[in-house]
Amino acid sequence: MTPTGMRRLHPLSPLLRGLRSFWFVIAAISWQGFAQLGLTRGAIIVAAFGLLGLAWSWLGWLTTGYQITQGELRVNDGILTRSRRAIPIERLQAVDVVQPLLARLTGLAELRLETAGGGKTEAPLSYLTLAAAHDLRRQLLAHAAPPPTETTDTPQTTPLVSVPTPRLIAAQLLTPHILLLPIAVAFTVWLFIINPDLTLFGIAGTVTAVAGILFQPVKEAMVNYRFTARVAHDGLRVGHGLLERRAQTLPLKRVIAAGVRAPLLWRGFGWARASVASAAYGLDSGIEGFAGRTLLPVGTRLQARQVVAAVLPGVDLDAITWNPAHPRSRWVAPLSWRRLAVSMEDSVFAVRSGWATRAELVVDYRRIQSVRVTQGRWERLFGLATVHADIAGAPGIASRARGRELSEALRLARDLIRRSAPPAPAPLPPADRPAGEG
Amino acid sequence: MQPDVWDVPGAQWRPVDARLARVRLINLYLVCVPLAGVAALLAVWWWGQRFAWLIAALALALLILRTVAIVRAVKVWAYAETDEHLLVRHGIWTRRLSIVPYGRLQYLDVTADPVSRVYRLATLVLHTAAATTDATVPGLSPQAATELRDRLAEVSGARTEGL
Repeated sequence: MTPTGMRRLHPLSPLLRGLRSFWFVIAAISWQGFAQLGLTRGAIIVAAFGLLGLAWSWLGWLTTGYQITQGELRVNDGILTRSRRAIPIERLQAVDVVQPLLARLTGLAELRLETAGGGKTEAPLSYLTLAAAHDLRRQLLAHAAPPPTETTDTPQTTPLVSVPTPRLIAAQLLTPHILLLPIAVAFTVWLFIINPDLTLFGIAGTVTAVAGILFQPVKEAMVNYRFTARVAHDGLRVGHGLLERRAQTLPLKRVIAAGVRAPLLWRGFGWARASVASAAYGLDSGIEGFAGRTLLPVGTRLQARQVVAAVLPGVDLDAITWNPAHPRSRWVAPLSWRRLAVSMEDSVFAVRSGWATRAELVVDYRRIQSVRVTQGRWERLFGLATVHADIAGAPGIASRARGRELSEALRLARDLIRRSAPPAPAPLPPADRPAGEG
Repeated sequence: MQPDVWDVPGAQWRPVDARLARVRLINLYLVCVPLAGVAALLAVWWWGQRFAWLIAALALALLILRTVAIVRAVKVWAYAETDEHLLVRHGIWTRRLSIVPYGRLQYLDVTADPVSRVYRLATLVLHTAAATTDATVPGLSPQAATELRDRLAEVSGARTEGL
């Protein structure tokens, strides 16, 4: 790589990006549109917009370049509005190599960059050859973090957990969406019978609606296809995906909380789902730089315990001595009151809840941002209150303890606040703080 | 207010300015009275007078309830600065106590709506990295709000603990 010149993306990039715009055009026209336009005219419109998109992406490719210099990743792009971004490499929180379907077929990959404080993922570098993407990732990470001193960079060869495909599919079949689908289909068939003058496009619309219902479980199964988690020196390395294979590292020092959920329909098989809230993952999250991520899409109780212990060392979900909610909480939470419990473990605050979906959440004390005690009118009748431990990120399980006696709730809150303060004010690396703070 | 279990040892509770109730009531009436008037006119037009009276009575009852709630809520709204945390307590229907360590503060907002500005009152909102943090101190005089903000910014800068 020459230090002065910018490097171009792979020459196939405009073609791949242009093809993506085809789908947008087709989706925008929709069945209704095709019905009104007729197939030929529809096809011409799709082709015209597709070619325009292709030309546009080609221009985009011509004007895009990237370069690593002086601790910065520089990316120049933009056709009408030129942009020159300089991303300080030390601010990079994560670098992911992602292969969407088309890229996979052509041996290309895109590089996604996450920076602290940003709510969104930076525009990805798409596309590079897979080897070049991994190479660039290594270069960026080498700049971003000091290399490990003793441990090797290679993760465990045998994964800590892996999810067999039959179990993944069975788990998705055991969701309310899928179980209710036969009723929806029967209803649609009945509609056709009583109303025979539905057109072809009417049928197509119905099929689209059914596909919409199927979308979520199918997506879940495809995204988590061949899910593996391996323990590496710097965190948990997670790989998954059928069409878009993803390999990501979850840095241990960014873990805020981890939770396990066991939905009613999975409990017969002893299955559970584990997720984690961690700082600085802008992907798909509404909240600045934080997101809940899957640690285990579906697995046994033992596997769930293992992945939680892997991200929060020293935490064993089955070794927690739960302190159950007050018996009067049956009036506040009639279904789940027997499940409500709380525990102050050595390093984590643990809460248990849920009736249909059983949930446990463990929160790292040092990640608690603030603590609240609330007591609603109904709770007050029974002298009960709720303790909330506010954390950044969304583990998918509320970090609160319901059904505590008021005096105990206030004691818990003070205890939580005391434990949330670090014993010694150890200076954190600047990347740990979101940008725009000071 | 009788001494209660909600108290935190070592906390010097400071009430918010009582004139906050007036600000909140004016804001309420500015929205609700015209709305109620329009609703009553429409009701007369469509259903006749008796129905309009019923609606007006209902609206008045709700407004009185809300007025009482606002006056009482402002009376119990209080905050306290300790060595390590800011404490805020408020709410009469749902009682709330928030404890925010200074080291967790990300940024502070001082805001004032037009009616507040007439009464020279401001609101201080504390933000941490958690979206659920609920620590708002209304009814501060502008200089008290600014002073509190600067004081908090100073102690939080000295104690930043990150995420």
